[in-house]
Amino acid sequence: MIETFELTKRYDDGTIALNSLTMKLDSKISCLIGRNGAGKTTLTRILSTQLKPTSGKAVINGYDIERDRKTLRKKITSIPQEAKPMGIASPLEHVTMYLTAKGMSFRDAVREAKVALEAVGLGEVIDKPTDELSGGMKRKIFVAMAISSNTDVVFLDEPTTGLDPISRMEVWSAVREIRSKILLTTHYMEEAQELCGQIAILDRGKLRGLGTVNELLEPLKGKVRVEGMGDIIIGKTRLSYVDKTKASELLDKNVTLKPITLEDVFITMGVEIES
Amino acid sequence: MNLKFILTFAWFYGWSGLKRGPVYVLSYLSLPLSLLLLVFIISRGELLSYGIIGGMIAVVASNALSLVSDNAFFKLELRMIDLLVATEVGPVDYMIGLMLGDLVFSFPGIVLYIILGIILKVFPLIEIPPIFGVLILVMFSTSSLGIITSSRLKHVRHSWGLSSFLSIVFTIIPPLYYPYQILPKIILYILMATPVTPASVIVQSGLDGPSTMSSVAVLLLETALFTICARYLTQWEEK
Ligand SMILES: Nc1ncnc2c1ncn2[C@@H]1O[C@H](COP(=O)(O)OP(=O)(O)OP(=O)(O)O)[C@@H](O)[C@H]1O
Ligand SMILES: [Mg+2]
Repeated sequence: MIETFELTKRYDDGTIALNSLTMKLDSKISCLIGRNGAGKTTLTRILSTQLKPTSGKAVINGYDIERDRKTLRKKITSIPQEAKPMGIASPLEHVTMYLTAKGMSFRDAVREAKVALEAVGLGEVIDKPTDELSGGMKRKIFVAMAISSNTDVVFLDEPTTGLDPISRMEVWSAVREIRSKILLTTHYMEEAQELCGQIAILDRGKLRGLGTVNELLEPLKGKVRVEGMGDIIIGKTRLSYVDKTKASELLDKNVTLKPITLEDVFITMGVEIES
Repeated sequence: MNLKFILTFAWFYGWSGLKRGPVYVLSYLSLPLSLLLLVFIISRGELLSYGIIGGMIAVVASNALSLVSDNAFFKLELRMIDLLVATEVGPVDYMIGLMLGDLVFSFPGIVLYIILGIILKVFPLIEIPPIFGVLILVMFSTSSLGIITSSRLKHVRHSWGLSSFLSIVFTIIPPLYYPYQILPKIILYILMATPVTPASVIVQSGLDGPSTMSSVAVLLLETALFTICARYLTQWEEK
């Protein structure tokens, strides 16, 4: 269970990345979603003891992130959004190094690393220098670290960014196999819908919504998305949401109708919807 | 200290570099070997031993100072520290892992110089273990200086210039390739601030010269001081 109490982060330049965030996450896999700059990475870094909060408190499985920092570090795994592999070393060398840092013996680490790299589909390239791998393959090295580290809680900050659809599904099934509780950040709504028991929506450092997919979809229940007309303007596209019953009236107009997904919850956050 | 991580990190960082790019050993050997040739020609062979001793220390120091850019790169580009924070290891393990990795990478060069030293009768076999000890201290102290220099850099780009600048300052100016006795005392004392100077004095004086003891003391002191500073400046969590 991850709990935060009025967690606030103000960076040196004055940016307030988290603004008195209070929330409780306790499902097997929880997701953080929110626009670029919403504070997801800041939150993940604070929870995984990489960054100190300005004020407030956070507790993970009963361990305070500041007071019990040392103990907590042994019980969590955190894969940073911007982590990159060292080009000259191989995937096997990376994961092995990481697993010895997590306390495994060299021999166990090599064995577990091979299993994990196989699971994420990198079995063929475990000995290649990572410079010779594609962007998505590089990302999967870090996913392999997460699935093999075997800790109570795992933080994954955008683990599937840049992966092709099949690789993403491979990662999903690998992530589901992890026994730990997971906090995962993603920009892919179908990923959140697919994997997460609980979804937290962050917006400018504040919590805008928290719940299961169905709970979050509730306000838009019975509606469809209309692309091509409406007051919500994203880039050059106009959007609106209308009752399914009224949708048939729109069929002869030049619009596209789409079923509601989590993306629409995201889009309508803070946006008034015509009822 | 987490020895299994330190050794694995040295394998990850040093050995992978050596295995996949052995040709870079030639690149760090090119300057010391050229200077050896130069010293040999100019002195008509008289100062050959200085070319060997100087080159041996310079190989260790210049590789250790490459940590200025490697440490900055690991931290700022690869986010290595972020990755390692939530594990069982701490800044000391990471630092020693880096240093040991550099030692692995420098090893072929050190071996070459030791062989040259023995063949050309610069030092007898029996002196090899203490000389190796001196080189280890040089490695610890200069890599700590590399870590100290890189610890406050905000951009990797800044580290490239610094790295080559320090390498010159540490390997050409101090008495590595020439006898320390020809320096005025005051200059020698000033140069003692770089750990390569006491190291060179120790080896040049055949391990039992008049200034050996004091140089050993200076080298040990500097190693301790720089290592502690580097540890203190290696920020594990961010404020
Ligand atoms: N080191 C820093 N110094 C100053 N401001 C920062 C720093 N890191 C992040 N910020 C700011 O904090 C805010 C939140 O950033 P954060 O990286 O947490 O967002 P995010 O939700 O992860 O975004 P993304 O989806 O793009 O990854 C942004 O306004 C960002 O500019
Ligand atoms: Mg982010």
